[in-house]
Amino acid sequence: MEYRFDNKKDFMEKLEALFKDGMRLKRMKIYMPHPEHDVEHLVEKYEKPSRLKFFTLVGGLTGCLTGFAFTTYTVFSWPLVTGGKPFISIPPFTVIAFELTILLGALFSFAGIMILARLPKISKMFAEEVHGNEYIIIIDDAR
Amino acid sequence: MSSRTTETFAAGGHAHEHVSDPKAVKDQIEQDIYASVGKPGRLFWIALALSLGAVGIGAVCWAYQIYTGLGVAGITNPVGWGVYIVDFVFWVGIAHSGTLISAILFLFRAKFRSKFNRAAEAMTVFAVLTAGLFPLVHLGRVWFFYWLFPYPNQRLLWINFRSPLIWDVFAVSTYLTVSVVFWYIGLVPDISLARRLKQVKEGKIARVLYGIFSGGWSGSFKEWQHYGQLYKYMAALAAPLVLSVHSVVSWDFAMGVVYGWHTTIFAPYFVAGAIFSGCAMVLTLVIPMRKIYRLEKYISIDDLEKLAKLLMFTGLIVGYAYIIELALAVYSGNVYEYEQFMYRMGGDYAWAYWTMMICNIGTPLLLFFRKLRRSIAFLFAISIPVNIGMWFERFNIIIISLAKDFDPYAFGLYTPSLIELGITLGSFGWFFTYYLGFTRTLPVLSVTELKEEVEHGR
Amino acid sequence: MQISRTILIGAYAGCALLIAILEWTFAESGSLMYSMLFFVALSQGPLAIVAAADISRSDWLRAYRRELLSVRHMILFVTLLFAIFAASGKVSLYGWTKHPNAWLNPQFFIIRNIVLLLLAWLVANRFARESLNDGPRKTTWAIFWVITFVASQTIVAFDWVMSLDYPWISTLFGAYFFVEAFYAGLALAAIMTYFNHHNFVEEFSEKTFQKSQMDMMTMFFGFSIFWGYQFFSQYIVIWYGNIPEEVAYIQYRLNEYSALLYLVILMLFLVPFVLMLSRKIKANPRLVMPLGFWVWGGILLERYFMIGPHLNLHPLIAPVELILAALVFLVTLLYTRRAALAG
Repeated sequence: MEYRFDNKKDFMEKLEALFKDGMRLKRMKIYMPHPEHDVEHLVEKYEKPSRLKFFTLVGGLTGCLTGFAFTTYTVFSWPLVTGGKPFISIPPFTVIAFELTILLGALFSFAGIMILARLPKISKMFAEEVHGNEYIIIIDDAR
Repeated sequence: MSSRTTETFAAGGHAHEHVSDPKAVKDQIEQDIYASVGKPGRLFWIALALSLGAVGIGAVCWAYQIYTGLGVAGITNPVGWGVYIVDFVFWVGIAHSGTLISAILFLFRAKFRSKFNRAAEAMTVFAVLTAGLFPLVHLGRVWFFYWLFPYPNQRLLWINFRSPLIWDVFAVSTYLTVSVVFWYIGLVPDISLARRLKQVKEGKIARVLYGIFSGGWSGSFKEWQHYGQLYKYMAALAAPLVLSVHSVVSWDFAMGVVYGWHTTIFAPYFVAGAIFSGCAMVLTLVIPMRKIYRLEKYISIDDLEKLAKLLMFTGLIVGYAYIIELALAVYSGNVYEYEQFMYRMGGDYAWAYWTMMICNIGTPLLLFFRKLRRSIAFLFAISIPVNIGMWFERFNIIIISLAKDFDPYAFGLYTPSLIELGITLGSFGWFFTYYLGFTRTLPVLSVTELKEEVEHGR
Repeated sequence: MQISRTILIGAYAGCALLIAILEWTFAESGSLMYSMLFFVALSQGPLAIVAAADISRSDWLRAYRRELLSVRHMILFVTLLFAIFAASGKVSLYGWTKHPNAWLNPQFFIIRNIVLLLLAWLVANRFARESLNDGPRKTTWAIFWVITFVASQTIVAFDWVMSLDYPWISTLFGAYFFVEAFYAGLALAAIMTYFNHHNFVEEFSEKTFQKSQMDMMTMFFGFSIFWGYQFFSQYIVIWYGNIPEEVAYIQYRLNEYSALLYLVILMLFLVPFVLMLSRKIKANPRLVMPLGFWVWGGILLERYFMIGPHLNLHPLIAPVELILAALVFLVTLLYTRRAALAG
């Protein structure tokens, strides 16, 4: 079964009704022309929120630790005083650790969306299927 | 399609309440923004030819420099950092306002952001690509550029992580990566829409490319849900990044004990200067683009005025930093510091110093007048002296400080050679070539976000 | 609690008098400067937040406007304190008074500071009137306020604190101070979120208020990062340059007060940063309130870190004076809020 809506209000009413009837995302596909916070709030009453933040967090922490560990490892792999600075020079190493925190945080997050949203979808890259600016609910009646 | 509904949208900000048929408005947005994709006109080809010509000049100059040696550049003792480093800092600076607009204004939900973010992010990516060339150009043996990467050399020595130049490698490459990812994330839904454009359907290769880059985005709820989160986190990561990158660039100088370089305000002052020049560059790019692609109803004068305010604000910070540096040089009674600033104001390079002062302090002050702030011609006109002024700011910092340091015996002057200027010209060509390509292949405004705003006002 | 104008004036005069008596009776230096340094941030920073919101025409401020503007008369009290400081001859604690020069001499020092503080108070009042106006809002005075704020905080930083270490300089010091004042203002917003929660919700819808709170706390969070950034960018330049006359400032403090320094970093950066990563904490008025006080505490300690080595703080008088000033601060908040509600 398929419902198409031109405006958000009708769409959200229908969606809420469906959720109240016990319909879940597992059996239904929702398409929207753009992100919609209200819809997210509505759905997240019944479904789990996005777990992307764990990717960002893990990425950031990995980056930070790598930054400090890597710089410390290299100075001790052949101890050599440069610029009269201590071996473990916290301020410079902080700069490296910070940059790696951001870098890995961003890359892990990007990997996160690919994993969570199952992207890229090769089958859909060249699909003719077009959703346009309508809000669409497609219910899988197979079962 | 009723034109009335779009006009109310165009009124911007708060007029959304009257949108009677949101779907029609959204369709219209798509139509208007994607109109610029494909179909280049004569003006485009002329601009592209000019840019490519400049790239050609730059390439010839660089090839000559590589073949002959770094001696063809004007850099010598004591001024070992010349126009190349000035250009590097200039282009990294230009990049910054893109991230500011896309990340920081996103976190603060500033509404005018959606009018500029796509173009500004594109500008960021291209400007970092341009900036990245200059450390290479500055190398005598460019084929050994990989020595900068963190790996142990044949004597098992690692690179020196205490060197600010290495921080730079990390900062700039992180910045490039993150800006590309951030830009691309925003683009994915728009690219997936572009697949069904008429212009695109006709060309086979274009269609395949759009298909691949869309990653098969279908606009399902799950996708949007993660997308919303991702965008937020990317913005949260990019916001401190933008502070750090130009700070690291400033530390290339501030870590040294050269007077005029070694000062604590450098990091925030460079960041403000970067955003200042970047906003000016956004104005330089967006105002003609708005006219040529007839985007007047999306980018309103109010939006441009907000950008002008940002320009004014950052300009004032830069002015503050100039005054503080000067005042404290006098206050401290440190003869070297004092001499350095006197030399800047009245020495061999006084012309550069006063160009900078007039362009960077004088012009933002004009923006206090509301009339001028709201004049598009004036905004475009002002954006160019600001860019010139910011280029000279870096020139002053780098060259004047080196030309006159502690020992009078080691004083010396520097004049840029034609090769250096040719490569500088080439960098502008390189940047504009990318940008021109962008305006004809990708939507210059974020269609997704504009559509989202249609609903938001309701 | 109803605070009338009489009580307000009484509190100002009474507390100023008490402090003056303390200052003249006990031969101690620095306690008063310490209170002034803390409250000069608290009295100006909150107004700067409002000005920033007005100028950028943002709507994240919504509920907090009146609360933040209500600190403005505190500037007058700080001016009073400075007058007592100057009149009781405490300026002599600055080393440069022995070798005055064109900029650093007692007369000019006193005059420029009093003039600037008074000017700040006048501009703050005009700005508050403009900002509280319900009609279409102009931003002329907001811009003037920002300029005065920056000038005032810069002079405070350079004159009150940096000149203690003359000829040591750090060009960042002025910016450091006005950013920190802004941070202190956001801490006030966090505290207000809890104590005025009831009023806020009554006046705005729950949803509007929550949105506004979230924005304010996001900014609070952002400023914890910004504080860390500023601290770091000052520290690394001095540490890396390692020039004797410059590094002495940090070296001395690191030897004598290293624990205090770590505590300051913990209080102003690490703890607020880590805690406020969580959306739930930012949304909870009961949790952001202690964070606000925590940050104030951090600022208080940091100011001690800056001036402590030069001044002998009396273990009894310093807290008493701080408490008196805090009392005035509280009275100011309550009074101006009532006046705003009535008018």
